[in-house]
Amino acid sequence: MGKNSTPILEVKNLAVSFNTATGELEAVKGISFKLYKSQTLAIIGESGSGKSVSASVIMGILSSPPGYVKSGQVMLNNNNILDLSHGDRRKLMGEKIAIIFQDTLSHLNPVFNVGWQIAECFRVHQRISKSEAWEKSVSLMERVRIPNPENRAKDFPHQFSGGQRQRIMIAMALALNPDVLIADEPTTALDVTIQAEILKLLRELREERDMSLILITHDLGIAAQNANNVIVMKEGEIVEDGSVKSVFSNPKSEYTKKLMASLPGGRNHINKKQKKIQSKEPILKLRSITKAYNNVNACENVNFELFSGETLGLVGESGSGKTTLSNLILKLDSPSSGDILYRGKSVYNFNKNDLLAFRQKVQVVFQDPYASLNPRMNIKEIVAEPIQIHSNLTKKAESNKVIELLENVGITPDNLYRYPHEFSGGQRQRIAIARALALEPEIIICDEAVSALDVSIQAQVIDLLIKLRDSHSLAYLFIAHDLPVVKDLADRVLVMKNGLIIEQGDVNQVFLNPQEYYTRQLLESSPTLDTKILK
Amino acid sequence: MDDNYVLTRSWDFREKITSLYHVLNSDKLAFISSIFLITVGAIALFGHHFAAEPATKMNLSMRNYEPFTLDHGWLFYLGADSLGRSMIARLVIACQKTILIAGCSVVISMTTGGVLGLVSGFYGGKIGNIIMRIADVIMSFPSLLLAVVVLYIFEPSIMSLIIVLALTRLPVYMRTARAEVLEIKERLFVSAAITMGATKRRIIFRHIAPLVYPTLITIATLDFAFVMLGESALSFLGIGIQPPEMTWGLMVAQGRNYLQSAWWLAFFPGMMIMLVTLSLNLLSSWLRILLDPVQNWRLKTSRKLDGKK
Repeated sequence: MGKNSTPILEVKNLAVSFNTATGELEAVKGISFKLYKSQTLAIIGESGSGKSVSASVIMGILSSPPGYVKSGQVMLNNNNILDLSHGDRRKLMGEKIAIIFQDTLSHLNPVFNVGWQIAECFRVHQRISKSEAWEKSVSLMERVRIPNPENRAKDFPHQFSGGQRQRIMIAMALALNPDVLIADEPTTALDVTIQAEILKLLRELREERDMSLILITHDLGIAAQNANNVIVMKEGEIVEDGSVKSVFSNPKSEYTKKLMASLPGGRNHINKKQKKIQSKEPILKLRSITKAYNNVNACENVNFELFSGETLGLVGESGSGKTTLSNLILKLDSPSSGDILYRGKSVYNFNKNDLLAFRQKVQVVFQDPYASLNPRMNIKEIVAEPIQIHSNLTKKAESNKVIELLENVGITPDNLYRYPHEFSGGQRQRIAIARALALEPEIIICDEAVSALDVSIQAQVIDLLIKLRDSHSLAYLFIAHDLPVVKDLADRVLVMKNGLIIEQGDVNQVFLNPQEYYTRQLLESSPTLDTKILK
Repeated sequence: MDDNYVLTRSWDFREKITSLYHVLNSDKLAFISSIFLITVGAIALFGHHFAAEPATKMNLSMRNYEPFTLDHGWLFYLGADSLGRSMIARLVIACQKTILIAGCSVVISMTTGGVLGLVSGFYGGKIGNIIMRIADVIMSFPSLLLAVVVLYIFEPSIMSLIIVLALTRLPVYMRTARAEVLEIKERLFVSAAITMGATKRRIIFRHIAPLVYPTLITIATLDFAFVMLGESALSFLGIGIQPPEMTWGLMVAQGRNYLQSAWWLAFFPGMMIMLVTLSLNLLSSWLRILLDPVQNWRLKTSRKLDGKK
């Protein structure tokens, strides 16, 4: 750190507040940090920690009102850019500081082709002819490794994959050779293999152009592998800062320790019951299930069995057919061919009573707890609903049961009459789990059930799932793209790619000794803390 | 815990009633509207006990008597009509039929249109198509022509008038409800309900309908004015309400001939139509916010903010 004595960007005592109906909300409470030339600073924090708000102040895109900068300075090359006029400020943006976002689809304009959008940077900041600007955009697209850039520049954002769109965003950000690039959760929505490629590209570009990079992320592994320095934020404050090595090998604050302990992949969990189970009849059996949409197979010839009390992990990247498969098992969709047997009986030959029993014994927890709970029903109604459908309890017995279920997942009964939007993502997922447990099911399908949650919340939910599995002898079909999470929870693992199951086996066997190239690639791509620290 | 639970629930209920007042008070316009509507409702229910006689008593010396004087008592404060009858008394008497006809036809068209739209949106396929083609047929008829034909065939009575007015407004609700259902039924909580084993009826009425009806209620309040005016048009053509029965719409239609000489004959009933519609509108937007758990903090917290200021 001593080599670069003057920081290129320095944030001094920055405080940002929002005016809300309930009064002032302090999003950032006086943070200070320095960014040195050609270094990477990672800002780590969970949702609501104020990391994106800080970035938007630096970029001058804080939505104000309701937000406003209460105090503090942002020094770029020793000039406070918060004092500049709008016009002067705008000149800096793009030329000196640029940003890339998480949600590329909503940050690119859907009605213009991407070449035009990249060229816009040149048109706004430089006097340059149309054809020259276009050529520059094409060469930028080539630099971020979009294949066939001359023709692809004429395509529109929706015609690119998520990873390619992020590359295009990077190309736009790099157009004017900025000194500082802010990457706000640049890879969060992407698959691990794509994520690894994007991060590699960012590293390369930073070195090649001598840029400084602020990498905002919730993922400790990404920070460890990419950054020189790290700051950890919690509720608007910096709880820890320092070099990557010192923070991760010797964390000082309780919060950092907690975050590190929450990282999935570290649990040495062994499901004791599982060993005895294998010999029995499977509760669920898929026989050469194929589902085609418009002649494209979303899943093809899938065979597997699920035994009572075991956790089966299903791993794959987006588009691999995981969700199609879960919809088929849940009978939300029907396959093009093949058969699903529940307790030896085909689910397609069910009569009304069989189906009702199946609906009782097979439950689901979806990925997005914001969408899976009806916004017009309170928590009590939501959790009571499956009970009302399947049994005739008195009102009193029913509400006792609801209270018991909620307590089981750590929601206190004084929340009964509140509505889903009043809860955080983690709490909502707990409510969804309580609802799934209401009918004492045999199988719970967790479709990316913890993917949308912060790591510390994720850890709590995983622990809850493990606890419930042991106490209720549940079988989980645990669908995820996040390998460490699966490693924590699963007894057996299936790896899916392009609708096919390409590898399956015991969890230790798949993780320690993967047979397929693709599985190895997946494992290598998922960022972990130790690789860097061990270096 | 059990007793505790029952206790909190009942307390909660009582709290709700008292807090309703506060929530209403926090939106002044909605508060005034609700008082106005309650008054109109009371007039509709009890008005004929007091106003039946003066409303029909003719006094030719008072023809088109000017409003805003108290020389002939408060009954003539808003003037008199072309036969010298008290405007106030006539407005009061007309209130009952107007509210009855408009209210009934709006409620009928909203509920049947809403249910048909829900069913057609949820089931889709053949049933959905048949229902929507019926809506198309109704829409492709000019609504007044349809009314004229139906009322020509049937005896013009309040009942058939209500049905005709309801029928012509049906497609709006059907189409809106269907469009909303098509979107909502793809949402994740509906899939969640299916995997719980919920019946189709339960999904439609428990999960989908509560998200659709705020929209329908908003349309219904707007429709209120449309129906009142539609009724007056029919009455004007002589196939709606016939004198001596009265509605505000009919009063507007009759006052039309005197617009040059006695503007108040058409103005006051017209203003009543406007005020009722406006109040319903204000109240419905308040209700929409109140019934939406995501939004209703606006009403609950604005009280606090007022206090702070």
